[in-house]
Amino acid sequence: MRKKAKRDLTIEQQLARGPLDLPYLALVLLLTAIGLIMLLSASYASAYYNLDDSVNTGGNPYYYFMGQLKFAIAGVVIMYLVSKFDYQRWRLLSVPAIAGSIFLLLLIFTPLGRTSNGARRWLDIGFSFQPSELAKVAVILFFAARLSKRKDQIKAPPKKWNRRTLRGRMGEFMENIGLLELVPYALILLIILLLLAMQPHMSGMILVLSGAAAVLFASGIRLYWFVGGGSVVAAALIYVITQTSYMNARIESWLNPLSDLKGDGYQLWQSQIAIGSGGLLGLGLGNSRQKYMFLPEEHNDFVFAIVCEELGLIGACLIIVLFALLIIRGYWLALHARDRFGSLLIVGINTQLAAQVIFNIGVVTGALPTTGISLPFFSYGGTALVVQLAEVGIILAVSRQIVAPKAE
Amino acid sequence: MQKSKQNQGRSSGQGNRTLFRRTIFLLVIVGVLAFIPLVVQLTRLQIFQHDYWEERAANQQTKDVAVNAGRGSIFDSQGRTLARSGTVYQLVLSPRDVLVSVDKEDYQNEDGTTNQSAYDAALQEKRALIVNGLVKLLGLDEDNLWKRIEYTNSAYEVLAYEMEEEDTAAVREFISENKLSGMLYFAPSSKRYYPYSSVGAHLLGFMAYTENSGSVKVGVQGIEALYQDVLSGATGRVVTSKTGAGTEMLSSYEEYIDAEDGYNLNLTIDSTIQSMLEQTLSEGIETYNVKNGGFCIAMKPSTGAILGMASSPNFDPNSYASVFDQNLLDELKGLADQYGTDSEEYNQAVTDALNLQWKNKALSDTYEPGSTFKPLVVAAALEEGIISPDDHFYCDGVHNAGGWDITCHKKYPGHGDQTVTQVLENSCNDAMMQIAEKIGPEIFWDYLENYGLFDSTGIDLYGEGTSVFWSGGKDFFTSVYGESSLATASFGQTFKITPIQMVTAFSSVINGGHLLKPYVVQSVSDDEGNNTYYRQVEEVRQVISEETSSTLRTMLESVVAGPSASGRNAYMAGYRIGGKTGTSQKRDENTGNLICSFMGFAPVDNPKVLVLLAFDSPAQSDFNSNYTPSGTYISGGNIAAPMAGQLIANILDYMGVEKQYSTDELEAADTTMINVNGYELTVAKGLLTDRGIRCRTVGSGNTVTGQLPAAGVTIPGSSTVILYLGQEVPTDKVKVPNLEGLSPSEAKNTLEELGLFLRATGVTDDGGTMEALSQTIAAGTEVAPGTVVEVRFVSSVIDYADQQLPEG
Repeated sequence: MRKKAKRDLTIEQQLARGPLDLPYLALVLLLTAIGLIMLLSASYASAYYNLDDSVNTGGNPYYYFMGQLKFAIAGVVIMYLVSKFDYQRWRLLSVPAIAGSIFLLLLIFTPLGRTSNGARRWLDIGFSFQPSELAKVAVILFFAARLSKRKDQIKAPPKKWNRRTLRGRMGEFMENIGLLELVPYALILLIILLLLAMQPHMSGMILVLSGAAAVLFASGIRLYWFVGGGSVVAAALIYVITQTSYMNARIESWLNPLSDLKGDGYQLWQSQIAIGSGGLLGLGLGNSRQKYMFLPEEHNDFVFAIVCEELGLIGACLIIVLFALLIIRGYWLALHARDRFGSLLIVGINTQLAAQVIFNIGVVTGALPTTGISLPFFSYGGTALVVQLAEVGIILAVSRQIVAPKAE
Repeated sequence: MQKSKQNQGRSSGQGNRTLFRRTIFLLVIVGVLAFIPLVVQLTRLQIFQHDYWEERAANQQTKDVAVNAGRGSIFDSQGRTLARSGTVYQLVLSPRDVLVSVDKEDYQNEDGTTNQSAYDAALQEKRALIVNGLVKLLGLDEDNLWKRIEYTNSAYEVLAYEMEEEDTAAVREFISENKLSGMLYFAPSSKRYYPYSSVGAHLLGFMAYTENSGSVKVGVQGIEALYQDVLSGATGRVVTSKTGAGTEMLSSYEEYIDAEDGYNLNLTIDSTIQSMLEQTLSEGIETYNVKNGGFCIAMKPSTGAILGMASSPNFDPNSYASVFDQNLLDELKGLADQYGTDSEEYNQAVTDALNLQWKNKALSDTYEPGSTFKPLVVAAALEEGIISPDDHFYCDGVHNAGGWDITCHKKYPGHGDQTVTQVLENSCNDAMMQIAEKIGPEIFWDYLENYGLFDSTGIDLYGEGTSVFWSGGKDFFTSVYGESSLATASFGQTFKITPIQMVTAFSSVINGGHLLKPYVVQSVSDDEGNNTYYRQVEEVRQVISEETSSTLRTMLESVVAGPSASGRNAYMAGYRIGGKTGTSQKRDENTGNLICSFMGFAPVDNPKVLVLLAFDSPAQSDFNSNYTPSGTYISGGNIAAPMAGQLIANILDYMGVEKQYSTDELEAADTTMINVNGYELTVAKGLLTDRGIRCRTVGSGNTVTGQLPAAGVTIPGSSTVILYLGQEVPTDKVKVPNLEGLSPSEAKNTLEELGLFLRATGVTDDGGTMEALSQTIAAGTEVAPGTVVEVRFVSSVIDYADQQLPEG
């Protein structure tokens, strides 16, 4: 198909061909590159000794790196394609996306689902992937699409409630406090969280929740709903922590890693040894000793510990600053987005990304209990990286439509 | 802020402002503030707790292999090796690796589950192979081995210690045959060898594991203990990085700290002299049935160097944990027969026996020196000018001190009038008490201090004992209540000092008055033989003057050489031995047991060696008897002196000290038989008389046709040779008669009857009470006529302080 000349395009189409936000793109590519290098270093021993029973590295020390590299290249291509895609279309696509996500999450509990390490998170349909990755984006897309039209709805004449009936009065009251408006979001969120909880998938729940909450928050939902929602989540957390042995053990091993050296505590202990022994300047790139069969998952969730060991406090802080800049730039883009939908999209995706970074580093350093959240751009995992870059592609797509400041 | 406008429609501006504000809020919270605790936490771990984590990291990431340093050797003064270290092996089993070596995956059912019973059987088979093999090869305890091989948490079970290289061969073959090298291997370690077995055992000490020694044996006694740091050197280390699985990594992170071999010690001890001392001790103990062993010290009085130091019972440092002494073994055997080897009595007795044999009595024990102490008192009195050598003291058999009548060992009428020399010769207690009284408690106390009896000598050995004096100290001693203590102290009773203190103090009396610090390590050297340390003579103080010391030496020579002196049994012609006997009561035991000792030195004009020999409790014929079952009067002069005299003579011979003879002695000294065969009898007699040789003739005639002994044979000067006139010299062998108990003249006659010659040693003349103690050629031995038989004569000496001592 021949490309249309610019003058034939609608304004919408012209906007969608605007320039990418270069600082944001640069940060993403930089972090992806650093992430790849660190993954190579961290996974070297694990691949060489073929420690993970579920994969056969064949003793090739570059096994994990090569796998990740392919996905990174694919991811960057996909990111570019997504950024070219007019994000306004996501408004409509968000509905099938959310429905599809829920469908796939349900599909997990059919024989198509696969259980690994005690959790049923994977779908095997020709290839293996986690539907929760899709659900995380879908929720943001759907919420942002709907919530961006709040003011439009309000512009329409408010629905008349029949104040004579109890139902009518209740309805009016509920609408006034904003409850009615929340019902669909709450429903969708609850369904997805429930499906994730059944897997179980703690980290997925946290990320879905953080993305959804950010969109709801930014869209202007009254604060007391957050206070209320926060209280419910907190109560639920307290219940889970104190009443279930699963979380209880996690908390215990977090607070006192030495008490549980055979389990999670060992990982945290080894992680802290790696970080602590790195010191200010680190042992130098590639010189980690903890990666030699001491620290488990050193190329997955705990890759940041190896970063700290090899690059020291200075290197670790540099990477944290890069992440912070990426996040700040993301919010900056949200503030300048062309419309509410764009803003909310970025806020959702960006906050989710931030939550992932903060939770991961928090866990690795022992500041937070173990959750199993990987570090974006660093942790090994092809689909996660592709999805991450695709999400970044959406943000870049929004950035294309930012109206350039009037040139003098 | 929307509170007031809840019911009204919001303008789009309002909605966007909310969006803007809340996004800014998120930016600040999520983009900035949330990272602060993370950076804080990182800083905490990487900066403030860095050392802590680095240590943890090093602990688990590094393999720290100790490289044992070679322990230094110990040489005697002649360069003979008394102790050295060699490499031995210990057999190590890793039960964990035995478990791992049987791979679960080899025993899977078709559905992928493990065939547990097949796996268990395979594991059992592997273990049985190892256990049975080792039981067969090394005779290890099977039950114990099974228990240990099933302890799968362990990767380090030492099955056998200190195996010699040649003993490991069979097991090495077993390991390689069955491919067990990962789970069963030899680790080198070190073992200490003492080539001279028990010689100098107490001095050397031994090596053992202690609470703090860890996996390496350390010296726990004697020189091994005191010079542990010098001998052991510095353990080296090889630090390499390892993986979490424990395998070594080839990486740049390696550190080598070279092991520094220990230094060698060169002792003043001469193992020949040392074994002479031990020989003398064991002979005496056997002869007199000594119950509590004994001790013997040989010192070079001019330097304080210890030439030998022996203590009985002894042990073998190569196997220090087994009882060595035959008497103790007999005792234990008796207990084992009576109670069985599992009994408490037996085990306690074994423990006691071990502790007893490890004890260096010459260093750690204290004893009452008795009369050997008297020369110290006399020296003090002479030095202070309180008495002069010409003074006379009258002994009436008893002396009153502090209200107590303290008798001399020669009771009424006592020794009578004596010169100072005679006081020592007689070992007269009465006179000694008078001398001490003249000295007075103050000065006497000062001399105790000057002789170093209140302090340890500072000898470089581990475990020196502490002297025990009267409780109440100087205040008590100088008060009226101390008078009886002063009296008894004058003859060396009522206080206890260590043998080494006694020897050190005595050496100052005879070496010119110098109290020296005794020592056993002459120098410390490295493997190239370069000395890193050389011991200099250390003088603590001058106690008495050269002149007083010289006077004392002369007096003490009389004690040995005098015809009826108490030390006469130590006399050996040509050696100029001086000394003093001692027979001390063990007052704190109340058993009636005695310590018989002799302190002797030679040559008197320039002492080369000082010897203290003591036997603790020779067996008595019955309780409190003064006689041994064989009828020897129990005293230092009878039991210790003869042995000490011989010992000193042997040591001087070994040291190559030239003999000095007095005129009398010279007459009795050996001469060489000349050839008179074929001469006229008168000419022959003349020739022999010129050389001081007497002769008798056998047969009749004028020409000498044969002579006994033949020309060139050395005979004692006083011998009567036989000249045969017209007869052949008999060649039939004769049996040496038993001479024990005979007087010198009887012995001489008996031998000459048979055509044998007597060489008398020991006491030469004391007026008829001498008797033969021993002969060099045993009775019944067939020898050719003309053979010289050496016979040692002693005489009975009663110098024992049979006095009634005051209590306390």
